Amino acid sequence: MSRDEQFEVQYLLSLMVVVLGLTTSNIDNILSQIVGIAFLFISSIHLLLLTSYYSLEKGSEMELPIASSIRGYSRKTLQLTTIGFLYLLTHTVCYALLRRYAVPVWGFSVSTVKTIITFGLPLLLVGVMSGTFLHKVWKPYRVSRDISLNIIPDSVRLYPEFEDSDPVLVEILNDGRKTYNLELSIELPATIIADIDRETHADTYQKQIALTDDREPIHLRLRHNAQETQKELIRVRVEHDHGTIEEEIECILRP
Amino acid sequence: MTIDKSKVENILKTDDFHVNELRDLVEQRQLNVDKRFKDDMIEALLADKWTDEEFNDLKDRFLRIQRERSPMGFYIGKIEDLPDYTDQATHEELKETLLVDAADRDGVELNEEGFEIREATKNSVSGIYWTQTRTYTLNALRELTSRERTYDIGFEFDLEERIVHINADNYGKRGEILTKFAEKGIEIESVGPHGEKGGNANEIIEGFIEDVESGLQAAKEQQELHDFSDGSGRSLLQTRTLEIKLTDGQLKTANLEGHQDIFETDVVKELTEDENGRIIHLKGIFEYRGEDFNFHVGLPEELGRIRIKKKGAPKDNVDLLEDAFDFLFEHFNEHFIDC
Repeated sequence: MSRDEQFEVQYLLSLMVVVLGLTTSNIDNILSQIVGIAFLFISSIHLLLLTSYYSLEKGSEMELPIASSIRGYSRKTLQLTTIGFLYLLTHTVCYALLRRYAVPVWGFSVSTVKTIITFGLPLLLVGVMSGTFLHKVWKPYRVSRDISLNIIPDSVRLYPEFEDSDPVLVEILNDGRKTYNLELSIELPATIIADIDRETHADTYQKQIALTDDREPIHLRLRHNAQETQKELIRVRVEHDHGTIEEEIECILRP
Repeated sequence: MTIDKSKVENILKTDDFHVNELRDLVEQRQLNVDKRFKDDMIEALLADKWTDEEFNDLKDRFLRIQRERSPMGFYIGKIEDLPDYTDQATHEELKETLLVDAADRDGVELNEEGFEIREATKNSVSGIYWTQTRTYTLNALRELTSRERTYDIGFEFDLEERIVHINADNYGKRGEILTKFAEKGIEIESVGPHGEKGGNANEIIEGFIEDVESGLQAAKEQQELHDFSDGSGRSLLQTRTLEIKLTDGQLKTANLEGHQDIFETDVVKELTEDENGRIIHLKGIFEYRGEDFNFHVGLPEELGRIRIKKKGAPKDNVDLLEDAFDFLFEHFNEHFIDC
């Protein structure tokens, strides 16, 4: 993941200005002091890690192992800070609403209900939000980062016989450590016939692949049945639980 | 009368028997089979009836396909010196010198290695050099056995152009005939930019490629006047592999994507300009009058080489193969022999 540390520092500073501003004014009207302090604590640790990593990185040409492990930690604290900020926001909203409406209208004074609304409800909201984010955004993002589809070459000349035609390599690559269940399909136009692992295929070739930190090469030998020179496309598709990767092979058919 | 199906099967199953010919046969016989698959068509054809006459037609067809699909080419060298000790005409003396080592053949048996002359005229002396090698292999029971293997190498001296063609598929044997020639005072020199011309060898090759390309374009335009085939702007010459010899003798191979100027690619620039390499082999595809051919042009120190092979379905047109070869050879001649 590429990160812009300078941006992160600016972002954190602005957050802290807001929070510090809040602590100096009549904070009890807006949020509970404990939550504010807890957030400050988390973001300070993150800022500390980030600045030390940044200075180590700038100060030395060498790749220091300590620097990269600090970078690794700072990734986790960044996530923690983001979640903390989310919690802070929802907490502020709940807290303010409770003070503004609930107390005067219904006259609530039962402390357990109050605690649940000001501390528990934000926790639930943050949980749901980060769960949704993880599932809808993070997982597809990670798959698209880990899995890639390479086709070499992407433009070929085909003839009526396999031996005359250019062979093609379709390669699925998993750079991550997670195992993915993928479905490869190679859509062949009506005029093109493929030989894959010594088996002849027309129409569509499909294969289920479970891939862990590895590559899956598929060697295509191709030929065609067309009577005249024409162009065709072979569509190669890799489907996974979170989406699809699609590439094309441009074919020039020569009689 | 029906004939032995295994003979038909042998021909149909050969790789050289083109899929389009199978489809033709299936259509002629109106067999009901999926014409996309070779195996299905062969099966259906074998299940059909074959008469003697039909089998003979099939053999003829196979022969025609092979003539068109077999590669065409030879090694080539310049004649630097010929024996000249007597008053005889050059071709007569050349013939006699070679026949000092005449081959002694008795049908298929080769009793003595040597030369056999087919033709000796004022402008051309051609023939075959027969040689034998004892090879050691494992037999079916994994015992060491030795076998005599006979090789034939064709040669043709063109006394007018002062070049020699050598036809051999075996690299080592090609060297053997050169040694034999040298023993008899026949000196053969390589073609192409060597020696003093070696400095701008790559420019000479670049010129060759440019000329071939514009020649192909001209041939295509001429053809299109009476045949409106597709003018899709594909390049007619694609160089796909270059072998480059560096100054320290190392041979580097550059594999290229077809649609680009090879001299502009990074890898070729690095090998030829930064490392002073010299291109000695070119391989690729060219399109001549609507048909595609693989080509190989080689310019190593020993002997030059030119070879083409037709791609795609046989069109029952051997002349086109020969025309394409003549076309390429003409340019080869102009750039690498007369240079």
